[in-house]
Formats: sequence, structure tokens, C-alpha cells
Amino acid sequence: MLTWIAEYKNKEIIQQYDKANGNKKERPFSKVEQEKLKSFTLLDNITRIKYTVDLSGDKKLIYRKRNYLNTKGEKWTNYILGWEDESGKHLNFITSARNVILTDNFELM
Amino acid sequence: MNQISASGAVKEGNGAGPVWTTITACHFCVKDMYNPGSTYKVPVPAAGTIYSYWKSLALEISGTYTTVDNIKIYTDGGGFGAGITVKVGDETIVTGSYVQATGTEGETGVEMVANHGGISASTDFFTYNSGAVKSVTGSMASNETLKSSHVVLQMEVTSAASAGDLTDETITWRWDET
Repeated sequence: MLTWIAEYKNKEIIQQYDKANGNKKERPFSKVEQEKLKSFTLLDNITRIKYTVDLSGDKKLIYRKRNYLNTKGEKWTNYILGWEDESGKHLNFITSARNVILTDNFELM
Repeated sequence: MNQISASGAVKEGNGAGPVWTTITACHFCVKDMYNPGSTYKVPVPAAGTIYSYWKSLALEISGTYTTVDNIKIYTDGGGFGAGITVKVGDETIVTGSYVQATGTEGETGVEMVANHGGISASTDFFTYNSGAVKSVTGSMASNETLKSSHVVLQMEVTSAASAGDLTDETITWRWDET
């Protein structure tokens, strides 16, 4: 079992998730996320979320800063928190939307 | 974790050297140059196929970072319409294996699969999109300014094409940074 806190710089994204889910303060999770996620807690100003996941059988937690550059001159970054499975394949756990930042100061607990 | 930051620039290789120049648009033409303006446009043939000079494009990474890998390239999935195809070489080419684009200036380039020693086959570039990206070999470490392998692109034009300037399409590069 692994627990960490992720802090989002932009709390609006979480509020948008809340609104989309009838203000239940629940984020929509993908099937893969649902399989691994055991609990999560919104903390203080709801820009921080505490996650607990079961990573048994998986290799390691990964953190990716994924950058984009196109011929329109646009640049943006997605932040990805996830893990590698036993085959080394990357499975995304959290992927932020374009230009919404998941900070890199999440804490493993 | 420490804050990390790498920045990317798209480079086009031209000449025998080659010289790698930062570009913000990939402009197909019938001369080995990165910024032809309104000159050396790819003509529409009465019959057969005209080839642009091929383009050698690489992603250059600089800045402060630990590693950069998982480099991908893809298009917006559109296309330039009837009679116009953009091909990408199936292989990505390390800098040392660069081959200068050749042909008859102002008329046609030579086809890349037959004439570029590092390219064995090509694929319609617009089949690569955000859901089906093309991998580019190469990874960087230790804050160095380095280029990825380069992709080779070439426009093919047949008599089915309409003459005139084309609407821009979008190429996107993607890379992971740790």
C-alpha cells in the first residue's frame, strides 16, 4: 500500500471535476485508476489530494513531465503520475489537462 | 523533487554539413532550404508525381533536466487534400547518418525511399496523430543541448492536386522529462 499527497497549483481543475460530479467532491477515475485506488482525501484548500493505492505487483511509481511543441508555436506541459507494471509499460494514474499543473512536490508517505 | 525544466526547438538540417536551423514552420519546396518564402514551390505535374526535396527535422533539447526520453512526433491527422501526400520515412536517422536532399531545383526532388540510404520504407505522415504517435529514437541526459534523431518528410504531388497555396497543417513534438 502506498500513500502520497499531490498538490495541484490550479485548484480550478478540481472544482470543475466536483461540479461535473454534482459537487460530490469526487474525481472521475478511469478503470485502471479504480482498480488501484483505495482511497483519496481532499485536503485543506482542495488543492491537495491524499491518495492511497495498492501497487503490489507493480514495479515502481513514475512521475513524468510531458512537454509538447507544435508548428503553431504553442508549447504546453502535462504532468503524469503513474506506475510501471511488471512488463515496464507505463500506466497513467493521474494525467493533468493541458496547462493544468500537478506540482512535483508530491510526498510519498 | 527539484523543479526541472527542459526546452525544445525544432531544427531543420540543410546542406551537406548539414547546418541545423531552428524553424517554426516546415515549408515543403523544390530546393534544399528551410525558408523558401514564395519561391521554389512544388509544382503540380500534368502527369506522374513531383516530389518536394525531403526535409530532415530533429528536436533539440536544452536547459536544465535530468533525462529526456519518449520522444514522439505526430500530426493533426488532417491532410492537404486530393493529389497531395506527405510521407515520413519509417526509420528515424541519427545525426551522423544525415543525407542531404537532392533533385532538380525548381522542378522536383528525388524520392526518399529510393535515394536516402537510411530509409527503407515510408508511411503517410497524417496517419500519425495524438492517438497514434510516431516514436523518435534518442534520449538526453545531464542538461546537455542535444538533438534527437531526425525524421525525414517529403511531399508528393500528383496531377489530381489543385494549384495554389495550402492551408497550414500542424506537427506536434512530444517528450517526457524527469
